[in-house]
Amino acid sequence: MKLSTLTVIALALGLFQLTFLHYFKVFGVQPDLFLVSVILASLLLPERRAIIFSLAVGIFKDAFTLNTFGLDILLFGIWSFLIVKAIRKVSIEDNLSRALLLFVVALLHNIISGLALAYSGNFIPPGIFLRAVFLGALYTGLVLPLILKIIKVRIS
Amino acid sequence: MFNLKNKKLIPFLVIVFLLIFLSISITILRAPILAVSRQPFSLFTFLQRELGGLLFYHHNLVENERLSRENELLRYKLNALNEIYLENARLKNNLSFKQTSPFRVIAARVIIRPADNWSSGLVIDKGSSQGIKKGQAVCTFLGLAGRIVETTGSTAKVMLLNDPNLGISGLVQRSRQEGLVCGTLGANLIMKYLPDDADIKTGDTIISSGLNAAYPKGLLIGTVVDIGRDFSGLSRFAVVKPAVDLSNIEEALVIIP
Repeated sequence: MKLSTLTVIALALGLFQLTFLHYFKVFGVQPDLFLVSVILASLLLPERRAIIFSLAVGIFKDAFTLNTFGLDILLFGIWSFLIVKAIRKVSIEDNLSRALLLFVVALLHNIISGLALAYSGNFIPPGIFLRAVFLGALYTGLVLPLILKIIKVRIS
Repeated sequence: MFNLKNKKLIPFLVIVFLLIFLSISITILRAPILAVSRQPFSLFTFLQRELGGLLFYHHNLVENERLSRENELLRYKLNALNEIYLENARLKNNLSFKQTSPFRVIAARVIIRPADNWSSGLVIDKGSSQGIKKGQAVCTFLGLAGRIVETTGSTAKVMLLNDPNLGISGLVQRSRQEGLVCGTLGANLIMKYLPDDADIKTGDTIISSGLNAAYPKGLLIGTVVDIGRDFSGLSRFAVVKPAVDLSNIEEALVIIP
C-alpha cells in the first residue's frame, strides 16, 4: 500500500475518531482508531516509514488529548518498532491474526496509559479501569476486520 | 293506456315514499335495514376494491412509487426540522441563562472530543481571541461542566467534570458541608474528604463553593446519589450525579470572571 493512501485512511480514521466516534461508545468506551492506523502502517509499510508514520499519528493524537503530551507518541513508536521487527520472524497474513495482534497491543497500550494516569495521583475506580483497559482493547481489536474490509473494497 | 299506467303507478309510488319516509323518520327501522344490508355492501365494496386494484394496477404502482419518494423526502425534512427544533430549544435555554446569569459568559459550540478513554473533555470553537483563558469555568444552562485547560486563537480545550485530573471544591447546599468533587471517568463524580460526622444525605444538591476564584460560588454541580466510606475508614465519600449530561454537550458557556 502506498504511503499517501495510508495517510488519507489515517486522516479519515482520525477525523472520525474525534468527531463522530463518541456516538458509538459501548459502556463509555470507544475504540482507538489511531492505534488501528499505527498497526496498519506497521503491517503494510517499510520499516523506517512505518515508524515515522506511527510517530506522526502519535503527535496527531496527543494534540487532542487532555493527558500528558508525549505518551502516545512514545508508545506508538515502540509498538510500530516491535511489530515491524516481529513481522520479519512471524507471518501475519489473515485478518484474525491482525485483530488479535491489535487486541494485544491495545491491551498493553491501555494498561500503560491507565497506570500512568493512576500513578500521577488520580483516583480511578477499579471497575472503570478494567472496563477501559479490557473493553477498550477488545472494541479496538474487533473494529480492525471491519476497517480492513472497507479499505479493501475502496482500494481494489 | 297512459291513464291506466298512472293509476297502477300511483299506489306503488305512494308505498315506496311511505317506506322511505318511515325508514328515515323511525329510527327503529334503520337498524335492521343497516344490519341486513351491511354484509352484502361489505362484499360489494371488497369486490369493487379488488377489481379496482387489478384494473388500475399500473396506475397504483406508479402512484405508490411517487408517494414513497414523497414520504422519504418528508421524513428527511421532518428529521431536519426536529434537529433544528431541538437546537433551537437548547440555544433558547443558553440565551436565557446568559441573560439571567450574573456572570459574563461566552457561548461556544463543541467541535471535537478527545480520542482516548483515559480523559474526558472536548474542544470548543472559541479561543483566546474571544477572551477565553486557561482556568476559566465552563458550564451549560444546567450547571457546571468543566474547566478550560488549553487555548489557541480560535479553539479551547475543556476538561470535563468527570475527568480524574479535575478537582473542584464543592458545597452541600443544605448543610454547607465542604468536600472535593473529582471525576472518575464514569458517569458519576465522587465527593471526597468528607468527615465522619458530615451532614450529607442522598438527594442533597452539590454546588461550587467559590473557594477557587475560577469557579463562581453557587454553580450547580450535581445531586448526591450514594454515600460510602473510604478504604482507610477515616473519611466518607459521596457519589454525585452531575447536573449536566457530560457525554452529550453540544453547546457550552465559558464564564469570564
